[in-house]
Amino acid sequence: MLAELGAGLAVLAATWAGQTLAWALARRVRLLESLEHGLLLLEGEIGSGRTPLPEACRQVAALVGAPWDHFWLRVAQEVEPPACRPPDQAWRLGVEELGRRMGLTPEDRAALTRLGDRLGSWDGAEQARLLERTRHQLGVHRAKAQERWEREARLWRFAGFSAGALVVLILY
Amino acid sequence: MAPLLPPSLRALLPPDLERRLPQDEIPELGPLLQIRLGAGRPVELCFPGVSRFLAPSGRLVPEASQAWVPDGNLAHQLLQRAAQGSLYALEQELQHGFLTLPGGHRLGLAGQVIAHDGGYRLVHVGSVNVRLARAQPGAGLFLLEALAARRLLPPFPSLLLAGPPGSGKTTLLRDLIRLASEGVAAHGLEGLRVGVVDERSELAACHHGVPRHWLGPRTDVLDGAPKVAGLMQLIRTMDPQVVATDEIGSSEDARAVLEARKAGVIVLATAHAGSLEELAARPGLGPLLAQQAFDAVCLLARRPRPGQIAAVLPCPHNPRRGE
Repeated sequence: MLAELGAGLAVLAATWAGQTLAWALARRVRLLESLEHGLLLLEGEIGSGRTPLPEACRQVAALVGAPWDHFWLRVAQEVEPPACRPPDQAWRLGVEELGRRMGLTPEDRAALTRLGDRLGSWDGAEQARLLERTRHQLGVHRAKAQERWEREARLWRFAGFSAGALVVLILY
Repeated sequence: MAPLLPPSLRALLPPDLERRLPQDEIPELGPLLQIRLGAGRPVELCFPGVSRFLAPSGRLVPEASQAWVPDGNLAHQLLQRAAQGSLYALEQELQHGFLTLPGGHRLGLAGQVIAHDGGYRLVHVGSVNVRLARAQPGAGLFLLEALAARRLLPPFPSLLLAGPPGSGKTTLLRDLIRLASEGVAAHGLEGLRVGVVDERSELAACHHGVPRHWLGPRTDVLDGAPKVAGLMQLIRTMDPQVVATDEIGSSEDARAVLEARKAGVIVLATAHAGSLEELAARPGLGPLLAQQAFDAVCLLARRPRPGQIAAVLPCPHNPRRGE
């Protein structure tokens, strides 16, 4: 009885591990989609509405919804009093936290950080162009992530289950 | 003891500066009027009739040589903090060279400009000047008394307040608006409906259209509107008995004031000028005086204190006054 339970647990754990890896791939696609959507909204707020950055970020947060809103709310909070951080610092803090929580790749981080370096400066039209460029770059990353998810998600799930089954076969 | 700065303004200052500034007013210097910051130069604090520099310890010293010279560009840091990281949202204000802060304080800007859309736009801020707005309820009563002594009251007269920068024109106008709106029984003045065109958000310090300065119970404010369009819009839509606006000067402003006067509306306005001659020499204001748009011109002086009434000059050919 115990041996069967152990075998079941081994298969379950390995399947779970494979599933987690597949979820991580899917989550990255969704994260990049949400960032692209957020940047598009921000582009509209800044380029057309000239909405101040904190207010614009809060509006984006409301539209992208949880759990993706955390990044935008953090940026807004850091720019507003009492923190009053310059937008590049606020953006960088947001990106760092997002990277820790959601798993950005170094390329994603680099693209977002480059945007932060110029965010909030004088020219609204330039801001909009920069946002569009970053969005386009994240779009490329997202397409690659999507491709990888399609290619590897099933593989990881199957590999997880197979690894569990293999362990059981070896042990028993 | 009164605080040196309102909390909303103190919160905007860069931390290096904020922690050095005294918390409370210094009795022998009086209320703080301006803070002047610039890259590579000491921080200057202006009080009525005197200025001091900020020492590294936070003491106020008369000599620039003993003063603290901050690292980095405090002016730019302050602008960034005031703009909440959104300089792009302030393009219009930056073209005009100033920004209105919460509470109606004004952040004047200087630095490198470039040609832009037929005008100029600041691209690098080298120095800023924070001018503190202070509501001084009762400041207008002195003027009303001076007007009453010259038999210009009642009814409430059309007034042009003229003076050099920092002479308290806006503060006085703000209080006159309140008095016109509330009425002053001692002078036989009933409360009137007042419309304020607050192009620079200094008179009412509106936040999302709601005034932060008390301008009386019958006052409507058009915040951020250009004077010319705003005056006409208020007259058409809000039926004011009095309209008020700050810093008129152009020919368009003068035309709008004349239109308002022709519509039977009392006008309260301010203008930069040190004397009646300087006022008459300004292309936009000369015609206003010639056409007797105002019942009186009040000249203000900076010394001994801002808001000092230097002269009240009734319009000499005003038929309504019979003079």
